Amino acid sequence: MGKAYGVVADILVGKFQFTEGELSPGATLEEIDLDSLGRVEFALTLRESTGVPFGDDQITLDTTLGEIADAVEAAWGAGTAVAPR
Amino acid sequence: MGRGYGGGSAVTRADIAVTGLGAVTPAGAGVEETWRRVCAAAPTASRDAELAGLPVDFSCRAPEVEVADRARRRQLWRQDRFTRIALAAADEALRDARLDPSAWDGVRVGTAVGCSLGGAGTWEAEFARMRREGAEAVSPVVIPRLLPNMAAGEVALALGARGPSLAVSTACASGASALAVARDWLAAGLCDVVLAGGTEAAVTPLVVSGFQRAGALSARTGDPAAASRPFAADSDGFVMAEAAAVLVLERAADARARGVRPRALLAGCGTSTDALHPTAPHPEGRFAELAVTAALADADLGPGDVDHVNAHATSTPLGDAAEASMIARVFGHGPSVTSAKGVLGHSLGAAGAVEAVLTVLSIERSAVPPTANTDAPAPEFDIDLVTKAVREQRVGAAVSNSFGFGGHNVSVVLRAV
Repeated sequence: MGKAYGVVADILVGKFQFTEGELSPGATLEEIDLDSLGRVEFALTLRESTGVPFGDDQITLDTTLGEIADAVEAAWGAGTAVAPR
Repeated sequence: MGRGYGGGSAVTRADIAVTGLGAVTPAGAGVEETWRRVCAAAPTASRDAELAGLPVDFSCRAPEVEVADRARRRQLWRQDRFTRIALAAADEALRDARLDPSAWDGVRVGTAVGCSLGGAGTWEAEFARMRREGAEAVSPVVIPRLLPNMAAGEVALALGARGPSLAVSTACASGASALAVARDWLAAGLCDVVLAGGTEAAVTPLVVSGFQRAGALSARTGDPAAASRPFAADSDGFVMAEAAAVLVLERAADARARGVRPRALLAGCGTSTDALHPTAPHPEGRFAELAVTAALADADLGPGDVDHVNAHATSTPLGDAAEASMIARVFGHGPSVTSAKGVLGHSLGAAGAVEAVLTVLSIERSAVPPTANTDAPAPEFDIDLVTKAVREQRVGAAVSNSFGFGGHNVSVVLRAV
């Protein structure tokens, strides 16, 4: 996976204390056991880390980590946000 | 015997035992680390980077706590620091009491954790973020992080304690108030076990500035380690500290029935209110005296039975003078007096619980730690202050005092088993 997936994983490991082994691109937020408050906090942290202005409804508990990473990559590619160096 | 001055109708008398102790203090994460440092009279105050540029730029910080359990670590993001250190103290106290949460009937377990300011750090950080980035940047867990009751709530959640839970808030008497509440619950039969104590992690720029502007803090910025000087003639205010302490309480008969010898008895608690001024104590501690006499009556002891007083003594000239006057008046026989705040600073809502822990150790070990930084009490204080070195003495019964803004006075009596 690319740089965006790395950012997603870093947040989940660093802030939410998951292990790398608990994460995979196909897993949804619900499957990794984030609750509704965790989802909002995750989206907030992702916005700070990636510059991508996710709305609260863009990331749901059914969204996979891979889909989130793809959305970040797309935003970076479209120039609507700047990837962290 | 009733809780307040003047007695009241008796409810239930029972020996309430202390069977477990836990603490996280600026001296370290653990009861023994705290005891050793207090006995060594080695102050913990030091320059604090988060307070840089403020008129008072030092404090007593507690260490970060290690969380071994993975499921627990996964909850850290939604907990303020005052909750995290309370959980660590509760864990240590439970281990000490040889209680296993997976084996107990949680419905019979209560949680009473005092706290003064709750998640002050969360308040300040999130408010700044909202001002800077707008409402959409506010964390969804800002409320559960900052609520002062969340230490009690998270301890109960982590341990499956489904009996009564309560966050007691009587400012700097909160930790001691929690012990009094717990004693009532146990005496009334509401619970079989109570985790009781206090926690505080409010060393923030706003809180420090507020106490500084009120004239409550030591301004000894050139020498932080010497700033907290309880009962000294040249004291000029207290030093802000973080800490948490939890005591496991249960009826002594229950403890013995499961093969555990109580470490001490929580023999009595007394509370009173100055009803005089929002922050200043009565200059002679007239109303604090009511709490002490009520606690002694609750314990069925007289002043002459008390061997030792663990004082609230925060190192503020007004407060120390009021307490010294009260101690000299109530205890004419001159029991030993000490204050741990020369080493640990003042941890507000945690202090009463931390000092109850230290008082239990004084009873168990026949040892009273010295009051750091104070070579002798101010000449006008007629008290037998322990200074410079640990005093070895038998402590059969001891009083620990706590007083808080709002005029709250709480005294607890601890007794040897």
